[in-house]
Amino acid sequence: MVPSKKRTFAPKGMPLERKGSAPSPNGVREHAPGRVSTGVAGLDEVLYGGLVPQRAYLVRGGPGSGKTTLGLHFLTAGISYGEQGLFVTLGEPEEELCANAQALGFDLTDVHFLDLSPNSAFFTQMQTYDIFSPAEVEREPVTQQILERIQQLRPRRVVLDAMTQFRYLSTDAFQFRKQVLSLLRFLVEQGATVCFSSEESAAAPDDDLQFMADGVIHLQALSDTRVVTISKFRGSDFRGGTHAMRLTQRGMEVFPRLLPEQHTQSFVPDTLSSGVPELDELLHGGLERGTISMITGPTGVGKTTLGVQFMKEAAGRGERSVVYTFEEPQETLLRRCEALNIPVRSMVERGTLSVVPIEPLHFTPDEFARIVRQAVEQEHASVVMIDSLAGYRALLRGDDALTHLHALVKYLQNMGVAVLLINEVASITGEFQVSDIAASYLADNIVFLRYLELRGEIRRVIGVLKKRLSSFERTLRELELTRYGIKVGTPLTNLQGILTGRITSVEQSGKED
Amino acid sequence: MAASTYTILLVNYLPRNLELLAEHLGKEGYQTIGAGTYAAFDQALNVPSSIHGALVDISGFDSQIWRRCEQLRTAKIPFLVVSPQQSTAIQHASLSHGARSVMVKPLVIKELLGVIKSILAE
Repeated sequence: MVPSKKRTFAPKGMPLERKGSAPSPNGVREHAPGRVSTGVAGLDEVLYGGLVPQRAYLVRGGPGSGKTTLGLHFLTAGISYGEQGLFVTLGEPEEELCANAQALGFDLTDVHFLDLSPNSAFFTQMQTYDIFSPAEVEREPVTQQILERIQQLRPRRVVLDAMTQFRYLSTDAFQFRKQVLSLLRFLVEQGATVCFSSEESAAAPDDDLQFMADGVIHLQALSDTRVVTISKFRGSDFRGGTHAMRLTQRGMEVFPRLLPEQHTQSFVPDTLSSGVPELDELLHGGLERGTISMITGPTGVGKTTLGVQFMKEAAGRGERSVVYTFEEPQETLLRRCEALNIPVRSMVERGTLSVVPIEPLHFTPDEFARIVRQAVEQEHASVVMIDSLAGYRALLRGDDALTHLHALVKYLQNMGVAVLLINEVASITGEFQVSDIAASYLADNIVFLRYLELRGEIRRVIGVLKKRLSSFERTLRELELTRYGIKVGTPLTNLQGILTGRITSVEQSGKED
Repeated sequence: MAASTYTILLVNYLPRNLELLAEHLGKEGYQTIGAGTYAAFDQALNVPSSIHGALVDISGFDSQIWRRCEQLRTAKIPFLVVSPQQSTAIQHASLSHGARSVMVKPLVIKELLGVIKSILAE
């Protein structure tokens, strides 16, 4: 059976890989219209396509926040677009910069450098001076060297690291402002897009540079994560708020905060069958695409298995599903499902199922959202399971996990994905409780599983509490996990009090009455 | 008298300071003689008639510098003392040993040129 979804992206959503950045036949890439790529895909997305060309942007942040790395991305991206780039370094020597860049995998062969950093000779008496201020001595030669190099190269991209060094070459704040403004104007008039960094501290704030720049990119290292924020971007809108950032062995990666309303996809809201007729009866057909279903119940009751059962049916139709497992190892999950006659290993081999273990405290919610987006937008996953909500909250870094989860599931909903949220409740028996973490408001559908003890035997029951898009069966049914698969029994009309944990048979209850 | 006809003795213990002073004064047409040690200072004073003015940076020198200042006064060479800090004691010592004025580092090039011009004109 062919999936009925129409995979057409709505124009307002931005796919993960921009088509405009693909190399042309001559090997030179093309920019998004009217934009200059920063070289960091996630940052381009935050900037709605990249920087506006021939403007000057301030990259600010503390030591080790990634300012120079972003500059390297910016220049090497320029090379891939056939644009000449110049790195003006006033702090870190060129050799050191190149060595560090090579360690991160940057190819700086075609990047030009103007090294204005002090050399070791300056430390010796031969170069030391105190008769005039640095502003009197250094400004002119530094300016002259920059002018000559720019006029000689005519670069389309310039990185100045760090502009704050010019503060020492100015006699006062007014002179500094005037010099910076005139330098930036000169560079822009020569056709360059400029990224300049600042070394901001409490003693030397960089507010003046923020006013002068056409855009401001803040890089911050928080206690357990790194973030990027844009506070100013003349001539363009941008994605507000903080976005997770990672500095890796490959440089900088930015994970834009997910805004669900910016991603839509037309789809037919048909129903996904479970493949178990009695379960489909309970759900009046199954679970609809583009809905969020919470499968809730105590530990070991069969929540994950039930979710994978829907994936098995989706695989039969050639659709792809992904399980993000926060607690259970991949192998355990596969073995357990195989034992219940769900052929997960062959599903994995055929590419209709991916089981993705999420390492504890490794990702931020924004990073996780990007992983999920890749599965949906590039691998066309149509069923996504998050196993479990408690794991998501506990194992992702950063605060406000529930807000991020809300955005993620709404995104999946907009993209027509059937979302399965596995929710574990602490109580094994006793009074019924939908969820321990007040997340049930996220769900369009709530399927609950419970243990019941009947004549000294632990049994399982399944019921539906909520279904937004259709009616559903109000009765409870027995659920069995057997080596032949999931079995759902007939409605348990002869029992009552299952949800309160005080079960009596209806006949017995009648006799007592 | 044109600036190119004036020779100025520069006394400074830092070679880079001497270079910078020579560069800026040279741009204005002055000829300069650099002295980074007492020996070089004494050698320059052997032919006092060739020197029209002096700029003595006292940083890095001990109290013997004042004896050389006296020699400049005796030779009727107008000179300025450059001090690393604003100090009444240094100002007093400088003026009492014949300095025309005392300037505090870092100097402003334009101001320095103005002062040199005025003392040479006297």
